[in-house]
Amino acid sequence: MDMVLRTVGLTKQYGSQFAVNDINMNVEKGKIYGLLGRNGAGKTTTIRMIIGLLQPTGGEVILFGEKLKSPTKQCFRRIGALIESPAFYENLTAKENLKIIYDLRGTQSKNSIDNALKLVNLENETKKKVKQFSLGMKQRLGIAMAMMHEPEFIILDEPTNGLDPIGIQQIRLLIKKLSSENGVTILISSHILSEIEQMADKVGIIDKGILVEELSMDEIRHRNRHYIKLTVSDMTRSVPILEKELGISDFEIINDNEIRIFQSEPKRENINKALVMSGVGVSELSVKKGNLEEYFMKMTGGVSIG
Amino acid sequence: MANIIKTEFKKLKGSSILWIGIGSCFILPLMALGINLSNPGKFTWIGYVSQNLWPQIILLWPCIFGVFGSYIFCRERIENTYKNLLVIPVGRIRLAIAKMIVMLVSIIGMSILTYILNLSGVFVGVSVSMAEFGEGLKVYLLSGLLMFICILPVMLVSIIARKGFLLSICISIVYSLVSFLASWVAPLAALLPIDVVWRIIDLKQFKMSYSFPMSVSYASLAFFAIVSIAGTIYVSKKQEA
Repeated sequence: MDMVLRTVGLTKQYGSQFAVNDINMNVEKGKIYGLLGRNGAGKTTTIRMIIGLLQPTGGEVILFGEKLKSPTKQCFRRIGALIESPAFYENLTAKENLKIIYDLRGTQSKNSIDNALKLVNLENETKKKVKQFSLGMKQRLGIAMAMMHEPEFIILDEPTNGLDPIGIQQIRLLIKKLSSENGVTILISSHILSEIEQMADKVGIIDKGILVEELSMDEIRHRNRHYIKLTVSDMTRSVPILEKELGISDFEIINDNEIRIFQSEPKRENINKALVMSGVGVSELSVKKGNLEEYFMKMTGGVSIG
Repeated sequence: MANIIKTEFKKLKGSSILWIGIGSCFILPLMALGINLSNPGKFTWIGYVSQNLWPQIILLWPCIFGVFGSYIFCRERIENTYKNLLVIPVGRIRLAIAKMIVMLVSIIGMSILTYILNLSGVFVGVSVSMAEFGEGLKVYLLSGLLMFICILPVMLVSIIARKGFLLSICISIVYSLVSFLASWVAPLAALLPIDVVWRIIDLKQFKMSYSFPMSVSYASLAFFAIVSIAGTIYVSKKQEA
């Protein structure tokens, strides 16, 4: 399996505080990797260390198979990055902004600026200065800047921040297109679960500076299999009935009234019948399917995000 | 390096600071024109441009060049555009050197523009020959070059302080006022950069007394230049690490 990026024990410590602690990430070539976490979980710190904007206090970054000690121009030619909110020279137009980056990078095709603007639908904004751009336009311009030199690996830190639903959809389609049509590897960080769920092939869940889980979306789907949601009036009486009378062992008690049963047998009507006959009130008995949000909450032991 | 310098100039396009800089070049030539309209023909060309030069050096240029330079040096940090450059990557030291060059060229450009605008003096009877024009231009070019050195300490403080333009404006105003007052204090007049510039260009109308010989003044200016440039490079290197 070709890895574009690996981090081994990547750590950033400020005094006694760990902003990021022992992160081991693996980003495969041609895939979309979603780095998911709440605001302040350590996503941006991790990304800043990956691209050399921040020096790690421990661990290492391996980019394209090479340990990244001090990032070289050679290495950065293969990477495009949009870090946090995009920033531009507001007194210039979109094209002029890209021209500055183009000139500084050198060795790109003459059409790269126009192609990049076209890809993010900004090709007609030729006269407008960036200070007159909406946030969505700025985000798209930031992506254009990151991908103008046709990098193999694009890092996007919260690219849909502050966008309206249409803007979010546009960015999502663009990212998917870059991955599927151009074979670009993408690392995207977000605190919006649904975004990651709809785009990523692999997800890294980061919480309080620790990468608590790294797994493919397929694995998440498998782990978040169908279950029966059961809401009962009396938990203490219900559990023995499920275990002894119905022989159910694969279940989880969510709270005082809710149980999740992950077995397909026995059938729902039999569960209902057994509980009701024993005098337990059943207010809900339905088939549900878990999603990334639930999985995230389970992994971080906290409240929902996004 | 040439690319970095080129892009630094491009970044200035349409920026308000560029217009402020250009606009400031008109101030003293127009003031001189206004003042002399009622009393035309009083000055020779050299006398006329020298009369306009001293307030430029002591009051206007330190403030304008200070703010202009701070804008060039601090905008990446204030507008958060450093990150775009660092991922290219453009090193902070190379960027700092490029910005110094852009600042030098811009300051000399503004000095030349100010000088040319003095030609408005012909409307109040000031006559000018080619030789006189050339002589005056040399003085203004030298003043611009030396003012660049004078402004370097302001840049260094701005970079170290990592604050906005307001600090640079305040520092520049204090710097020019202190220099202005120090011009009557013989030891300071021989040592403070702006006063040294005044001494080097040797304006005939204003003879101040100095406690130290000219060589000490040159050494003082060189000291400020070296410390400021070295300091700027050191701070940039430290920020890069």
